[in-house]
Amino acid sequence: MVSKQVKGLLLWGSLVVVGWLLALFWVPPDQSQGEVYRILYLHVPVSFAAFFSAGVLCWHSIQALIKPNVGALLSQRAAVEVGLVFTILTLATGSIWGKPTWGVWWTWDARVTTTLILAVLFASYLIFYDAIPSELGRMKTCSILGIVIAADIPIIYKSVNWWRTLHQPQTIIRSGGASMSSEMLYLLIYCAITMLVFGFWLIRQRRHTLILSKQLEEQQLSQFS
Amino acid sequence: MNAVSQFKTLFTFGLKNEWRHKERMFTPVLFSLAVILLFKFTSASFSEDIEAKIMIGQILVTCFLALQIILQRTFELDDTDGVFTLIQTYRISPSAWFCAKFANIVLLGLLVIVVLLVCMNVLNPGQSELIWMFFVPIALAVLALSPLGILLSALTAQANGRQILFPILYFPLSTPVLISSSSVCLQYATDNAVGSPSAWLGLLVGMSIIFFTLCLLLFAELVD
Repeated sequence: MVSKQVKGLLLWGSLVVVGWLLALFWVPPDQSQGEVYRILYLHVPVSFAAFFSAGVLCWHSIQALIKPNVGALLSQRAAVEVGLVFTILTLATGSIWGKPTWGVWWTWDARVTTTLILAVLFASYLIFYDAIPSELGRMKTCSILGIVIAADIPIIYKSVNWWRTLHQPQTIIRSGGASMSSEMLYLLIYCAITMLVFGFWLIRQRRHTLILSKQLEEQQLSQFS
Repeated sequence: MNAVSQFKTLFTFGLKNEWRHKERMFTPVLFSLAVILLFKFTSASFSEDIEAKIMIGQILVTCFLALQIILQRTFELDDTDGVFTLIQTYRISPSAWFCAKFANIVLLGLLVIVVLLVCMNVLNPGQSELIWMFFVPIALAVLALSPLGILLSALTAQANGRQILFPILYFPLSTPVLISSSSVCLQYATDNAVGSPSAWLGLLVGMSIIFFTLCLLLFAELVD
């Protein structure tokens, strides 16, 4: 019998894969970048998913501050873990895209640097989470840190406008409409939405696993005592 | 006792405490002097415009690290004196506590900047006018970074391995402020050849206000 998790993975995973296949075979090549631009359909959705994870982190942090509960804390951790994976993917795909277009794998560009900062912050959150011994202390401190990390997102988003940078300026959400053809844009929106849903599903699954492992830990402790 | 009186008492007490433990007060100043002298004696001679750019880096790095020393020890004395336990029975306003700490740190930060700039002035007599132009952007950076540092210091106070955790959290969060501050300095050094500094100064002021408000609110939540 196929479990609920496998079904979810097959469903959301296949929607994401359909988007990639369309990106590879359906949309036309870009006028200036040629075929290499197709990585956009992976790079942009994973970066949106990373931002979305930070949004989920912020939401659960506020929730935990208003009404402290273990569920919100575990959701924060799940969001950070998934967010870290998506941020690393954003950096990796950006680097792969950067080599043929900018000529380098890495540059200390504003957008790239601020995204790296986000990855470091996600990783720091995980270290911090484990460094606080008491659960109540962890609830408060991690929630506060979660809000501070989420405050970094507008800086990353606006970095291409604020600083002189190699990274291209905002292409989709900008005054005067998107600077892409409609079929490219619709596919990008599709890929972004499916990746966001997939990210949300991953966060929920990870939260579920964390709850189970916590329950198991408590059970073992009670048996021991 | 209302919040304003509490702020005044805590601020004065904080200053007296710093004065009583003079090594706390003078360590960041001596540290910055030692670093800037090391920079001077180890760097080679370059043309005037490159010298100016190197100088910005030297001043900012030194100031940033000295500020980190101040911030990392913000709650050291409170921890030793058992303030975190005392506030459970004797209620003080978290906002007053935060503002008093903020004022103390900004004062110490300004002391470091002034000493640093005087020292740079002595070491680079030809650049005197330019060096004093750096005061405003660096002071604004201190204003923006202090609330963040206080909050992180309070967050990591109870954590295991806080000496490592504090810089891990503080460095990435402080990057936008440092970039803005160095950009203003660079524009002064290049005589506004790479753009106007007013946008960067506005960003620094904006970040100072946002960080102060956010950290003030979160600090109150933390010690509640």
